[in-house]
Amino acid sequence: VSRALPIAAVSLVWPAGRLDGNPIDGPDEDAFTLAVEAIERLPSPAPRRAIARLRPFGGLPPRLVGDLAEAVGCPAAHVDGRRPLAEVWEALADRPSRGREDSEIMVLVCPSPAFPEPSQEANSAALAILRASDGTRRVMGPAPGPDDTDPSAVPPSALHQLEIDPGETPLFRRDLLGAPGEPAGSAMWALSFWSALTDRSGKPLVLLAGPSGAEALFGLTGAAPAAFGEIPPRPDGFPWKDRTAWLARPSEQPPTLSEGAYVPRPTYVAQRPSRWRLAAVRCSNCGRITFPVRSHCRHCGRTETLEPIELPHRDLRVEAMTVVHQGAQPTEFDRQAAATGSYAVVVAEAASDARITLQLADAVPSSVRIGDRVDLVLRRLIPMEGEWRYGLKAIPSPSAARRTGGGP
Amino acid sequence: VGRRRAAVIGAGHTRFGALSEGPRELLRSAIDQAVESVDRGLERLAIEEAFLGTLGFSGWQLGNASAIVAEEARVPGLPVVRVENACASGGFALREGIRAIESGQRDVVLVAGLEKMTDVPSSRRRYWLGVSGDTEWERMAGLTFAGVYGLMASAHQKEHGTPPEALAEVAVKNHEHGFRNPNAHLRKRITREQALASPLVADPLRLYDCCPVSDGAAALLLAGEEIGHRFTDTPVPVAGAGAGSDALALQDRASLTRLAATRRAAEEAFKRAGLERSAIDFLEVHDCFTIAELMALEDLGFAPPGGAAELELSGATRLGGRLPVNPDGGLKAKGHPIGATGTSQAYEAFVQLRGAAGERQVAGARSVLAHNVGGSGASATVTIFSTR
Repeated sequence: VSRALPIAAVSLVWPAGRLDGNPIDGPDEDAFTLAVEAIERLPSPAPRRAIARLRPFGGLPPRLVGDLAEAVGCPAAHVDGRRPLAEVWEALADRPSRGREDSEIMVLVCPSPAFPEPSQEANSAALAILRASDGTRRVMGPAPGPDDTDPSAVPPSALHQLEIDPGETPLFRRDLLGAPGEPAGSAMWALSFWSALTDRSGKPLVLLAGPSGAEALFGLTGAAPAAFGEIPPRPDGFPWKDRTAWLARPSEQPPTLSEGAYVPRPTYVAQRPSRWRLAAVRCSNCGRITFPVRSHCRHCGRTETLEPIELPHRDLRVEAMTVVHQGAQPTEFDRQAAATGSYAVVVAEAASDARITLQLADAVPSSVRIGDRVDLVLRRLIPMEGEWRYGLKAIPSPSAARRTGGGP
Repeated sequence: VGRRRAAVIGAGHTRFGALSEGPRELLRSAIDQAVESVDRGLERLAIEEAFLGTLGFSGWQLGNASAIVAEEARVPGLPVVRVENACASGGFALREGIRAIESGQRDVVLVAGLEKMTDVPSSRRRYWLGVSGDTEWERMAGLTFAGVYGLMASAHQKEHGTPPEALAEVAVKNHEHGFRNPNAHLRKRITREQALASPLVADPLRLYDCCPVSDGAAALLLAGEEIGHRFTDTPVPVAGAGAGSDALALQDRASLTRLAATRRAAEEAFKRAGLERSAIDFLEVHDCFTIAELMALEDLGFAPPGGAAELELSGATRLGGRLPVNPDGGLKAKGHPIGATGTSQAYEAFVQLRGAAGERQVAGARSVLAHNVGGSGASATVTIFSTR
C-alpha cells in the first residue's frame, strides 16, 4: 500500500530545527554505547566468543563495526550500515531453517543524525537480538521493559495526516529515555522495532521517525513492515534522506581544541582492550596483576610469565572519590561541565593491584561513597580528532544496595 | 664525610603573582638579585654552568628555553641544561646543580627556576598544568590536578578521619605566613570560616585549599663549600639532597594516601646529610593543595600516618611553633610558578639560615628541609640545608 503523504506529516517527524528533546539520559551516550549496552544486557547462553557473528544493522559507520565487536568481545560481520528497514525486518524474521546453525547477535543501531561526528546531539538508540542456534530469539534494548508504551505521546495531528483513527490507539513507542511527548528522532525506529517484537496485541504501530528521514513513516503490524507512503520532496529542495548532511552543515561552532586530555588515536586504539574490557595480565611468577596491559609485570619485572586476563566489570570497590566542579575540568570536558554542572570521578579497585580511574555515570555524586560497589559501562568520554573517544564509566552497582563502607 | 659539599652563596627572588614582566625580565631580575646578593661579589664569568627548571611557560617557548638563561645572565656561551619534572622542575634543577658541584666538575653554578603562566587564556593554562600528570587515564576521566588531589584527600579522610578543619588550618596558617612575605602572591589573611565556606573545586578541596597560578622566578648561586668563603662569610651548605619517583598515575601506586617518591627522597637526603629529623628547625613543603602539606608531613617522617592533622591543629607548624612549616607562605599563599617553586624554597632556606627573613624569620633556624613534588607525586626532591 503506497500513497503520497502530505508534506506536513513528514515535517512533523523531521523537524525544521535540531531536535531539542534529548532522549538520552546523560551526555555520554550515543548509538555506539547504547549498542554495547544492549548487547551486554542480552542473556548469554554461551560465551561471547562462541557466538559466530555480530551483524550490525542501521546507521553504524563501517569503521565502528569493528570497534563494536572489540567492545563486546565477539567476531563481527560487516553489514551495510544503511539498509532499508524492510531488509532489517526480513533479517529479523530469518530462521535457522535457512541453514544457519550458529548463534548470532544482530544489533539495530540507530544513531543520531550527526553521528559519529562529535556533537552534543544524542537521539540515538540500539537494540540487540540474540538468535541462538536452537532458533530462540531474545531481544534486549538499552532501557528496561516495554511497559513504557505511551499512546498519548503520539501527536494526534500526525495520526490524522496518516489517516489513522486515533481511536484505534496504535502502539507507539514513547521515548524510553527522555521526556514524554518529545520526538525521539532516530531513536524511534529501534524503539518501535522493539515494541513490535515484544508486542502481542497485533495493533498497528506507527513509527514517526527514522534514521535518515527516508524511513520517516512506517507502519508495523508485528509481522512485516508496510510503508504508508512515499515521501514528497522538501520544499527547500534539501533531500529528506540526507538529514545527516543537513545537520552537519557549517555552523558557528568552533572546532574542539585539545586542551589537556589529548591522547593520540594510535595510543587510544592500542589501549582499548584495557580501556573497554579491562584487559590485564597476571604474572605466574609473582601471582600479581598488572593493569592496564603492559609488556612486563609491574611488580616483579618479568616479561615471559604474563597470561592475559580480563578483570570483572561488576562490583568494583570505590577507593577514592571527588566531584569536579565547574572550572576544575580539562577543557575537553567544558561542555560536559556546562551541561551537568559537576561530575564525579572515582578510583575503583577491580582486583588486588588493579585500580582504574573512572567517571561516575547515571547517578548523582552524593549517592556514591567510598566503599560502595560500582559496575562499569562503556560510554562516550570526549570528542577528539573528529571522533568520539569511548571508555568505561562507573554506575552504582544494583546488586550492591549492600553498602560495605561507612564512615565520614 | 669526606665528600665535597655544595653551598648556596647567593640567591634572588622576584615577586610572585600575576605580573606584567615577561619571562626574560623575571629571569634577569632573579639572576641579578642572586649575583648582587653575593657579599664579596661574583664575577659573572666565573659561573661555569647553569640549570633551568621550567615547565615551558605555557608552551610558547617550549623547546630550548635554556638559551635565554645565558642571555639574561649575561654570560655568553654558558652551558645551560633545562630540567623538567613538572612542579618539581626547580627542585630537580637544584639537584643537578648540587651534583655538578659535589662531583667536582664545577666550582660555581647557577640554578634558576622560572614560570610565566598568567599571560595565556585559562584553557591553555589548564592544558599546560594538565599534561604534567597522567593523560591516558586521569585526564581522560575528566581530572585536572585538583581532582587528583581531591581523590587523595577523600582517601586520606576515609583512612584517617582527617577533618576539614585541618585542611583549612593549613590554608589559614600559610596565608598568615604569606602575609609577612613581601614576595608572596596572596598577601591576605583568611579565617578558618572563610576557608571552610569557600566554593568547592574538587571535593573535598575548596578554593582556599588550592594554590594560585603565578608568574615568578628564583635563582641560586652554588659553589663548592670549601671555596664558599671566597664569596661570603655566611654560605649556606647543602647537607644532603635526595630524589625519588613513583607511578605517573595515582591508580598505579601502592598507596592513595602516601607519596612513595617523597619518602624515598627524604630517606636519601637524611642519609646523605647525616642528620636526624629532630635537627630540622623548619620545613618548606610542597603544599600545592592543603592535603599535600598534611601528606608531606607524614611522608617526610614528621608525623605518623594520619597524624599531620593533629600536628597542624596544635599550632606547632605556625611561625613561633615547635616546627614551623612554610614560613614563606608556601605554594598556597606565596604562589606556585611551577618551575620556580623548587628554587624559591631554596631561596627561603638561604634567607632564613642567614637570619635575613624579616617578619617571617624562624628564630635561630640552622637546619631546614625543602620538599618539592612533581605533579601528583610522580617525582619529588628533598634538600636539606644546614649551617650546623
